[in-house]
Amino acid sequence: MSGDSLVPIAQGTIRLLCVNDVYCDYPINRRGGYAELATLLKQYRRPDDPNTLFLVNGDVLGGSALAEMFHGDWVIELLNHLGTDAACIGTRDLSLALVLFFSMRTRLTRLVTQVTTSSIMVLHVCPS
Amino acid sequence: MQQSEFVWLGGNVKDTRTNELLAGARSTHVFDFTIPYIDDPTSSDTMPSLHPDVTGAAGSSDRGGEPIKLGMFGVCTQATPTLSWPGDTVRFEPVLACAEQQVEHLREVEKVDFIVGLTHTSLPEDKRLAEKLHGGVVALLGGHDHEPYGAIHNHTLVFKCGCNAYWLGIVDLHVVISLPRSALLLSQDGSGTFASASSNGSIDGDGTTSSLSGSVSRILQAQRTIQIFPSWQMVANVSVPPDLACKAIIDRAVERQKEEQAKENPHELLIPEMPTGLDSRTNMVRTRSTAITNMVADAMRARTDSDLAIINGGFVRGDKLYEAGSPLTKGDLLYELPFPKAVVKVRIQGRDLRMALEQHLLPVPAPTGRFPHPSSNVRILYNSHNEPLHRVLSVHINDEPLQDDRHYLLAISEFMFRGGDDLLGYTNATLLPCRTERICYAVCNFLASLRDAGTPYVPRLEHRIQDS
Repeated sequence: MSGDSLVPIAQGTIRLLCVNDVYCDYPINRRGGYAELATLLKQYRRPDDPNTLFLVNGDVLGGSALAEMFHGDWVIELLNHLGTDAACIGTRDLSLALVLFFSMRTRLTRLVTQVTTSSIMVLHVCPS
Repeated sequence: MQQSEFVWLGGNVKDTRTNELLAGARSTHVFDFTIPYIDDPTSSDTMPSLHPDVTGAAGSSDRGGEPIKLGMFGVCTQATPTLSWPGDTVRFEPVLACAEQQVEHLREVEKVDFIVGLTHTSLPEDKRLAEKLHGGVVALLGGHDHEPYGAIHNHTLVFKCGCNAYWLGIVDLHVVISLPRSALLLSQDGSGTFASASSNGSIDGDGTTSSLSGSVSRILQAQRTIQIFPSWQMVANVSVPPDLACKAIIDRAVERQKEEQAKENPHELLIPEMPTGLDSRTNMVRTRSTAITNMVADAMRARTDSDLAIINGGFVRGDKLYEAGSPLTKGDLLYELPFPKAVVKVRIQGRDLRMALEQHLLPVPAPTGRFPHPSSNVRILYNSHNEPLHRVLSVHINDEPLQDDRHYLLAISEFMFRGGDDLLGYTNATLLPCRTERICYAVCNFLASLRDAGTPYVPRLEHRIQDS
């Protein structure tokens, strides 16, 4: 082997755990469910190994009755509990929920209401 | 309001008022990892196994490790305003250009060792992204599509793990960091341990392995080669016992929901006994005629006194089976139809309606949230193998062919009327005054009126729309 050949000096595994597009909070016909996912996360997270991330690839704050009703507020609590490291904004995450959520983080808290053509009340955020 | 303890990524999601990222979101983030050193890298010339320890990090952790930086970016489909209702204050910039900028930033400014993208885009967009980035990204971990998927495109893993937490996605990136043999021998002292270097770049021999991740690395990093070998799997989330702490969070939310719904009498029986049952499973309502979507369309037509009604399959969210013989309650409909969108009545010309139906059917035979479901007096025949926009073979309304020059009174959702799901054919229609009613309540009221009249609605699996 030549002197310039490559010699491995370090090796290991970075584990990325992920989930996306969750619209059902409880299992349906014994499939799915956040609390059940949490059990799997514990199983596959590899305790004591910092080289693991839990990633959420969007559409978790809206799209289900429970999430829509509370603008995804409880989902944030749940994702915090699950030890989420990063999340990607999805199409349903901005249906009020994330806009409001982000506004809280940045103290943009003055809200106005807008009436759509069909008189459904929609909240939008204005800069304070 | 809960505060997020994690990073939200959305580099192409901008606030139209500030022209900057949506407040609270970031375009990129860097994660630092340590890859354990191999005990004696020069003891063997063979590549170590990539699977030395499936339960933990490979290598010998007590010898310290080599630092490595993972750069992460996130993008959301530019189609969001037509798929959802983010509001006028949010703008979605082109995904490809944004991703390219973020990758360049991570490489040139953050000096990361490798990059992973989080994408909430369609599978074709993910594949285009993988091609555009020329393998510069190790993995694109995505959402938006609801079917599980994992494959290498242009040296990039494209991975989506279905929906509804039916699967936990696991991507293991096996990292091997190598040095040229000459550089490695130069940096080792006589005892076989790594040497460290002082900040001026000279090498001393204090023999502490942990210091290699510091100053020696700065010298050798330019010479190191990082290889990443991804493997992936999806673990089915079936019959798994719940985590109780997590369940408690959901239970609290459900209790709040019950309190809210209690005001709306969720136990109200709308159909005492359904002879055929209902199927709101996502893949069904997005591919074919179903009894539940038929029911929604029938309600919309009746409540607006229209000629016909059409609802898109993605409006029904429950992903659930209701057995034959079971009742249907108001609570069931609040669950199935959570979006606060109203039914609208429009006057539309036949040719615009035909074009809208073609737009509904653009993604078929793939499951699509825009799949059209008409009211009971409509029959649609299409061919999913025809060229896009030439798939509708026939449309009959009250047994008469759709006439291009005639105007029809049509009930649709306000989302569709605004061109949601790229259904632009509806935007030519004229909005007519009608009862302002959220679609969920329109269905409830429709069913209640039939129940009260002693003729409860009977959901039927009629093949109102069929692929030839």
